[in-house]
Amino acid sequence: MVLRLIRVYRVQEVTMQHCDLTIIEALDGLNKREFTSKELVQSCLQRIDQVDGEINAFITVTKELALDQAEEADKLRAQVKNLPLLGIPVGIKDLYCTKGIETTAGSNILKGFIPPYDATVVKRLKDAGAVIIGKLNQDAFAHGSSGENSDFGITRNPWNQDYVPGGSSSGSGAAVSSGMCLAATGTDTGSSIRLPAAFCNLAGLKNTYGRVSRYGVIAMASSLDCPGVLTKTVEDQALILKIIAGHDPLDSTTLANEVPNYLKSLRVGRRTVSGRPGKDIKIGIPQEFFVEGIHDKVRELTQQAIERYEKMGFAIEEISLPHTKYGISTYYILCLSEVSSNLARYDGIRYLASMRKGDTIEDLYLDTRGQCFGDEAKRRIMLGTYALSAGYYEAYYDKAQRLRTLVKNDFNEAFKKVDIILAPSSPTPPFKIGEKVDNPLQMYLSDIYLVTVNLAGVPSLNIPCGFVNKLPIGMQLIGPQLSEELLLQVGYTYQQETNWHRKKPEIASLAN
Amino acid sequence: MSEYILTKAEVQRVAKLARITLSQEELAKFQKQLSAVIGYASQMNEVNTDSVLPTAQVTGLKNTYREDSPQKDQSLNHRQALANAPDQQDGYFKVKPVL
Repeated sequence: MVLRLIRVYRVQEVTMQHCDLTIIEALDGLNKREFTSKELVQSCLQRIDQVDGEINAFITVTKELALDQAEEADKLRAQVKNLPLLGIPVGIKDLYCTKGIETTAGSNILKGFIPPYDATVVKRLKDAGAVIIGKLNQDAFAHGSSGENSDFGITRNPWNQDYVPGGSSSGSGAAVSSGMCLAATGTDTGSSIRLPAAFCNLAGLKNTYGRVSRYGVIAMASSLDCPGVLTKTVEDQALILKIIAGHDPLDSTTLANEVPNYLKSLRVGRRTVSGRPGKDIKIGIPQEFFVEGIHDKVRELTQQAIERYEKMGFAIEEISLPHTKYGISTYYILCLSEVSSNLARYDGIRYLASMRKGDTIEDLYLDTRGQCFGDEAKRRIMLGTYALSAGYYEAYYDKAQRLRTLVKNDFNEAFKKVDIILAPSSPTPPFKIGEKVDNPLQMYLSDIYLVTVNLAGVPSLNIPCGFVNKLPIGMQLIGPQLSEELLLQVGYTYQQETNWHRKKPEIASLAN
Repeated sequence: MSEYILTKAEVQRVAKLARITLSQEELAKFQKQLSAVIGYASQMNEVNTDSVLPTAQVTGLKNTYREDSPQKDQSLNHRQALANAPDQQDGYFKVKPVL
């Protein structure tokens, strides 16, 4: 409470620390020997000490491990053995299995779980030289759009701590935007990378389904889950995507398509005009996203971004995605059905949470699941069970699978006319903590602009496009499947022309 | 008479299918919340999908094969596999009587 009162006295300018750098900037400093990885990691650890008492972005901080990894990185760099992320501190959403490090998925039912292996994304980041600085808070099992549904306490938005940071990758968004790590992994099943990126002023890319391996990421809805990262800039996205994307024999849904050098193509893209994409690229604006329910300022800022693109020479065309209004229903029926199946494994037998007072195995299931799952997991499991149960399957699950086809067709039709689609990421600015917590349907509707992307399996990049009352607003660039390269180019072009992404939150405890 | 789409008995039935014990307070709360979501989802019926095929795999990928051979670097030994078990005996998960 005391901390919140201090906010009145915060200062406008806070000295830039190493932890405030982007990855590209930090690599430059490391390679020029301006500072060491150990100093960079210490800078992040200091930031965690200063602000995470208020923000609560981390469930576990792996301080000793991070310092060891940083020293190792400094040694490698001294031997001129360079790696693309050598010595860069990254945070890992607690949904990702990390060998030997507790992984909770934000739920008490997995408290104490020590995975015997690394998720493929974690392994690839480590192999690229990244330093793992800790495990990040999230809505339990990624069920949520606000970060309020964690068994390890709510995460606060660094831009204003009375507001949510967006979920479910809430700790990831809050940690990167406040400099506690330089990038963080997230997962996007319906919104969970893009919404926290939008609410925390970050770049967040939901990849094409199957572009990045799901192996070792605790499953929510397997036909929709897309692992990815939240970063400060589009450039950092491009750098990391090259490392984590690509076929993985351990995830049979990953795509075998070649992984482009995304970072290189930002500067010399295939379709560039004097270093910038434009002219031959057509941006579609979906009329269904600008109807009732959209906040005036969100509409205005999105409109300004569209005009900015137009000035840069991009062609703008209105398009239609007619099944958008069925997105939430379709998404939630499919998602919850898969959740009910994926969460069946938490039965009190395999993981530590286990209520063994009853006499039979049936009691073990009922008591463990009844007592250890939070409200939202119970709601989702029950709704999914209902949608899949005899007599309701055709009306709900099968119906939603057919609607998914129509949503996908909408995008296919749109991409015959335009190269990419630009739309707001959220109909409203970040909302207040507690505002939607008792009304699950209202919470689900926060994702209305985001979920159809997951149904169609297409990629979408959130980038910052302005502020309302000092709270960040994001927009998304959506492309056809496997168009990440183009999305990053078009996003990068905008970030060269604007400074929204450079703004940093003023955090009370840093002002002292 | 219930103002909700789901009766308490239906919520109870679904909870039983999902192996979740509910308290009386939870039952009342979830009846209201589940009904709201299911009620909203019924808007799907506005669309005629009789001639539309369902989509399960959105990238169209099918039938990924590999050799059916042990992958040593991906295998866990007994100790690793049981490391997170709440109860175990002789290298097995221990459970309550099934019958």
